[in-house]
Amino acid sequence: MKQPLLILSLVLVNLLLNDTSGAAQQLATTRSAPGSPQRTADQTITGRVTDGATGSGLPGVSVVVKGTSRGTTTDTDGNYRLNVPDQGVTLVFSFIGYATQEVAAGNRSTLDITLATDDKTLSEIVVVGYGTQNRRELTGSVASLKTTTIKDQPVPNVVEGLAGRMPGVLIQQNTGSPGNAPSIKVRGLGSISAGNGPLVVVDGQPLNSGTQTNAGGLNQLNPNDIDKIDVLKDASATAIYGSRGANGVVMVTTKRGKSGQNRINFDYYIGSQEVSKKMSVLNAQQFAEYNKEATNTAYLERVPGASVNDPNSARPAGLRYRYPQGVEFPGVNFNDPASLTSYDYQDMIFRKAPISNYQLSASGGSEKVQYFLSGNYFKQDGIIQKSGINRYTVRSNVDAQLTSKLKVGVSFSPTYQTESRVNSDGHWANNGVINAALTLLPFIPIYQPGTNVYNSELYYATPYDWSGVTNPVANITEVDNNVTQLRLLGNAYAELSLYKTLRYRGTVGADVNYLRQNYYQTSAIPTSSLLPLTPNSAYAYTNQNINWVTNHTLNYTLDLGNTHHIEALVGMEAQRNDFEESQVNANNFPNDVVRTINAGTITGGTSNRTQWTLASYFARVIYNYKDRYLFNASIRSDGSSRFGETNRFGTFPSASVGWRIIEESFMKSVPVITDLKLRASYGLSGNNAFTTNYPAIGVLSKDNYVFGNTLSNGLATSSVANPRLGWEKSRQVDVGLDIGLFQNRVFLTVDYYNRITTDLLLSVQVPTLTGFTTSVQNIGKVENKGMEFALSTRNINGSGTGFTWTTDLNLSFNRNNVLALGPNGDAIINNSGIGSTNITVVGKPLGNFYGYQQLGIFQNQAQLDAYPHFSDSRPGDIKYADVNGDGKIDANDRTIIGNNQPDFIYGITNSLSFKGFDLGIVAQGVQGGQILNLSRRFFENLEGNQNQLTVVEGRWHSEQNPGDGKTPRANSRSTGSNGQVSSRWVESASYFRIRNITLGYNFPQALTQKAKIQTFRLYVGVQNAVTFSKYLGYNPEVSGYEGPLTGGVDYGSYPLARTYTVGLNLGF
Amino acid sequence: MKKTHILAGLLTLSLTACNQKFLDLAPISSINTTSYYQTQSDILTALSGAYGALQAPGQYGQYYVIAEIPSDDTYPVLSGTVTDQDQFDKFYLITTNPYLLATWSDGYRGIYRCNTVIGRIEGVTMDATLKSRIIGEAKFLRALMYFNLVRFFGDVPLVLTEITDPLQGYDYGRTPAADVYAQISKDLTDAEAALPVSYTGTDIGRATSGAAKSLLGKVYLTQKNYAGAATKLKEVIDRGTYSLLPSYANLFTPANKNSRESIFEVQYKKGNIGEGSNYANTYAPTNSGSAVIAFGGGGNNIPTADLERSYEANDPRKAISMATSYTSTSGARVDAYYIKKYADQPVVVNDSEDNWYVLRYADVLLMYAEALNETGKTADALPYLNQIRRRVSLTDKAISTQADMRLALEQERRVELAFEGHRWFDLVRTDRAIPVLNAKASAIGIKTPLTTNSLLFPVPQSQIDINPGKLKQNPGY
Repeated sequence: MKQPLLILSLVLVNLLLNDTSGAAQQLATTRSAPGSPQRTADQTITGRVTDGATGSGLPGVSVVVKGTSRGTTTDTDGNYRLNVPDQGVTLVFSFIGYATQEVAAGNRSTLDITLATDDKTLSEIVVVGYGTQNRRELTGSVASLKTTTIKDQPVPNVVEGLAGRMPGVLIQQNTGSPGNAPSIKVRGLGSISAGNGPLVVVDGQPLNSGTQTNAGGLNQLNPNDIDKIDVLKDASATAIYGSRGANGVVMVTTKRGKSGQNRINFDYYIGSQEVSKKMSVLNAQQFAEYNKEATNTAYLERVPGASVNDPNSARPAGLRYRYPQGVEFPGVNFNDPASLTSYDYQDMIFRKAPISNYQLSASGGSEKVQYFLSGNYFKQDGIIQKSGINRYTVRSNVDAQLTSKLKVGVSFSPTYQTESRVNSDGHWANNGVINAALTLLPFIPIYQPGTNVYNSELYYATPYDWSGVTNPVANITEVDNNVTQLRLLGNAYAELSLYKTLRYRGTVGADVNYLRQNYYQTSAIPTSSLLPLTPNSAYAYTNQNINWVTNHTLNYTLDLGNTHHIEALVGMEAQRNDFEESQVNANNFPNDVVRTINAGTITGGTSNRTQWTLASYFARVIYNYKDRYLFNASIRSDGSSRFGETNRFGTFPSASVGWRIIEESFMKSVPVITDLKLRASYGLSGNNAFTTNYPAIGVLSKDNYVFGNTLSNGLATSSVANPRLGWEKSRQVDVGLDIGLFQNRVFLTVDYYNRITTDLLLSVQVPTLTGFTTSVQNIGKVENKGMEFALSTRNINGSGTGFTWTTDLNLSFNRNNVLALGPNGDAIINNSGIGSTNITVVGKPLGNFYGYQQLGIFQNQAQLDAYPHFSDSRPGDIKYADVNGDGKIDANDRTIIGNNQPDFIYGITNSLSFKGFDLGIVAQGVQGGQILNLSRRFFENLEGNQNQLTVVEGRWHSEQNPGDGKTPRANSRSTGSNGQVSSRWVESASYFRIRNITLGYNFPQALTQKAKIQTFRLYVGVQNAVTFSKYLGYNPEVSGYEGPLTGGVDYGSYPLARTYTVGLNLGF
Repeated sequence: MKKTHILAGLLTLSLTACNQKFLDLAPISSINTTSYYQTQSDILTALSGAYGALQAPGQYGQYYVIAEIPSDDTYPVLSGTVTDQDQFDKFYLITTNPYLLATWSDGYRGIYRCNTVIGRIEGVTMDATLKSRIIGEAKFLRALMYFNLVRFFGDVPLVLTEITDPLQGYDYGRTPAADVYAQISKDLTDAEAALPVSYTGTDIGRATSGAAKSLLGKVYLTQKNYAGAATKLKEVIDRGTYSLLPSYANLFTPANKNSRESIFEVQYKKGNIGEGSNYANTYAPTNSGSAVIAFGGGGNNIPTADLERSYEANDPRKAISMATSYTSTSGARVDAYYIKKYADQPVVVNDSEDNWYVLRYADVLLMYAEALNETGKTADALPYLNQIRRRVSLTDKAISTQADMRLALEQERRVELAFEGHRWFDLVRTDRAIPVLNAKASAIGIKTPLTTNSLLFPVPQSQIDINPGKLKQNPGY
């Protein structure tokens, strides 16, 4: 298989290469001989295109002879001149933001046209699987966004700009770490163990799938090269992608040149980022007070007859003040808390960081050849010291009409990215920077006094049982973690008219990614008492992922009069992915001078290689009757190497219907309604984004034995084959309504959907008499249903005043519910960070937080006696709910205490323009849902050994001074299991965020023309301007263990930046 | 244009024709079950994997818990609220006890590996003698694993082919113990014919025909087929392959692994290669530091005072098998009962050289005596009992009645084979568990007196929960 296909692909590529050079020759010929014999017969049409609202000339309008690729564009005043082959042609005038007009030229030689601003939703072209469709004819549910509306946002990943812009698409920027992809979920979570992220298709080329929920496939793609994003949501739209369509499909279209519109653009912005929020922690004096209280509580409780006035020398080890009295430490006088210096470690790890972006692009072309070329340099320093990325991108998209029947094109985009990573997240003992900065005792200087040796709690702590929080600055400075990635993404296509409207299109694409990571940790990092001594260590990791895809389609269009319109598509696709990785570890470097592996002692290494393949056939038919009754059906058959051998091919059908009620004669009597369409669809799509490439195949692992007192290598099956293993199946119903009112100045789209996913991939317990304890099976069922609303209004359309104001509003509800799990419906309990933190049970949404329910604080002994409690609970400790009512508190009382999935999400975008000014405000929000702020197990442990959030100022002191009613007493020998995962750490995830504000000014052309500049715009913007949220942590979008079962856990996470930018757009 | 048609047509054809191959991918970085088991060496490696299953916690790795603690010889150290081992000692077993699940699951995991070898070897072209030997070894192991399962749980599912689809597991209910025993006997009969008398070099430690015969003898004895047992055990004795080592102490030094007295042992080897045994660290007293065994001890299986008292005054086996105190590193005497039989000093923790005796010649002699006695040949049995006693310089016993001989054998087995995983099964086999243990109920701390239900352990609850239609619990649980 491999070889024939490879050869064919090579032949195709070869063909394309030759043909492109042919095209170039042709181009040269056309230019050098403008007066070829054919042209002399032409007649010339001239005219001016004006804006219907303002009456001013419209530059850059495309004027094309219908049915040909012959055309031009208007000049700066809106004038055009076009040679047409004969009389009786029809000219097509089109311009972004305006309704396209077709005008029969007749024998006129002058043709002035007035373009009206567009009912954009109607004539908009929507990219669907293996083709495009006019939105008017669309029967599925597709959300679209032109990137012009997000182009000035300082985002490294286009997905970040989509947040709040598309109904049914939840985008969460889980971390502010530069280069990290946000998570993207389309219409809820449909999988437990397989991926929940949508399939990403760039220019018709499906990328590697298999990641959990993030938009990693788009990570190195330059957002400035992207023209448009379409998200396919319902099954009639996604079923054409078969076994990869269940989580939605993100169709990315990159920019391409248009004939006659030769443009050179330079876009630039520079900005400054700062941390969008700081957390409030105790200062040295508050800490000293709190620490004293915690120590005294434990001391008085454990030592009979003890007094708070007892000096440390009288107290047993472990019950001494952890800020000692009467002991001098270098530079720190503990006798006098007022003299203690408070250090703000957040200020030491965060910084104001610059961001900048340079984009130079050229686009345009002739009738025969169109091009888009760009070069981009993007640099983002992280707001945590030392972190950041540099990205260099080049793109070349070229299309050439070689003959009247053959068109070819190439898209090629190399990207090189360097990244400096910082270990921001996770436990401070694992050198997590955020948690270390927030929990390090506030009076400890970063360096030992008078030296540049990093300080550590151990330096002070040995006699005082401090927990040994690591040094946040050392954790940053003393680790080099550099990642470089080279990505080559490209494809080539050929389109051939075979017979009348029967067209063939073939594509070959490749996505090649090389990653190299060099990690080095010096010996200067002070050790934590929790961890063994870690001398300098290093690893070198490398991986390579090669993904290639080829697809071939035949497309046939038939129009019978003005009544029947039929489009049929058949195609096939083959895709293959090869992944390889290897790592070498070393330690024991003699010093920190040479930091490559060769300088140390190699301690081990690994390597691994996996592959997957997919072979598919698909077909689609679209039938419209009188533009009124719409029908669409598609089917795909996918063969995947990931499936078991008896279940290798899956079939994914879908059908949808639409009724454009507006076309019915009775609608004429309701002039206020200017568009009305009812849609309904049903279909089946799948999910094969398994976490391993060979889930269906049993593998053997080592189990050695000894014979004759020598080792005998043994192997035994460690996982069992499941030849029936297949894709997860999503059956989705979608009913939608599109209504346009007042000349479509108000346009509303409403969708209801219900997606039931069955055959979930689960590792289930099997009878162990099989020789195995678990097996991966298709079992389990999840439902997602919801409503989506999108409302676009053109509030003021500019007539007369030149003032325009449009508002886009969207609102999405999704309800997720587990219908079945495993053969016995056993709950799935997951760990994130510590112990059991999440539980998934039938009848509830995926990924609930799991722990004790806090009722309050035991105020006195009477309350303690009256309610079940842990045996060592005392007044001031947490009162947990006896959930199962058995009269005791134990692990069986853990219950569901929250869930990260929101009740609804929404977004509001306002765009205003007046004369040369434009203002865009993007806001979005999430309502409902919770966060498990797991870091509070450090920040509020109340044991006096780590710094705390100022929340602990509301701690319980006594019955008379009970504090906030939630925070237990300070106690250095914690009792009552106050540190268990409980509802105390569960916080609301609701927020409202003004994500972007951009104010721009377009200098008048009259002014810019003098400098030979067509367009000149200056703008200022602010990203993540304001967030309204009650969340104590940095970012309510946080999800440190992102995945369907463990979403929304915060265990220290890179905060988001607020970014101020100034930028310019120059057009030549 | 024509050309393109052809091109597209060809492409379609080639795609269709080659689909299967294109889509048939197998793991590159790990060995998979479909492509393995092709050669003689593949099969030998798989067989080593089957032997390797013997070291699993649920087989002999923690045999000292489930097979020793119910007896009156040892009791577990009680730590906090963990009662998993205590439940075996005091007979209040709950069905979710993790040792039950480990025993069940690790037992079947080993059986799966044996079944795989037996099934897959059919398709492999290899030396016929070796093939028959490998089948014999796998059948011996399978019989041993089933023998343990049937003794612990009674009726157990009888799986005799490699499970290739986990759903097949739901088809198996519990097979009557008699049928399981019949299969064990059949496997051992096959094995004794196929296996060699002994091995040399790097094959030492594999199952022999003597091991198969000895185990078969034990199986017959357990089924009260005394004539059958006597026949088989006599064959072992008569062949002359085995003899008692002159020194009882030498039995437990690593240098004497696989000695002339050894019939079948679970093999271990230290050296931080993942093949060391944990017995030495497990049995050393808690908090003993490195005074008894380097890296300290877990204090498991503390010998009872009852066992200590059961040794005759001048029996050297007591001091070799157990101790009642040790000298701490600071020179102080610390009172602590602990097992001494497994005491090879590890280089890293839980990495000692001590093997586990499954079958040794002394056991065979005593079993043979038991079989003779039960068939009424008490006088014939006596010399075998005394042969055991003479090795440790104890005086011959003079016994004339069958009943006295039963008690004498019970006693001799207790001290000779102490801490080797026999006592509980001996008491059950001879119907003595209930009277003997109930008589000591208060000393042992038995929660409720033993009944016949107590002689079988409950089927692990999780297994019943997974397949409630087919698996039923033992009575009394």
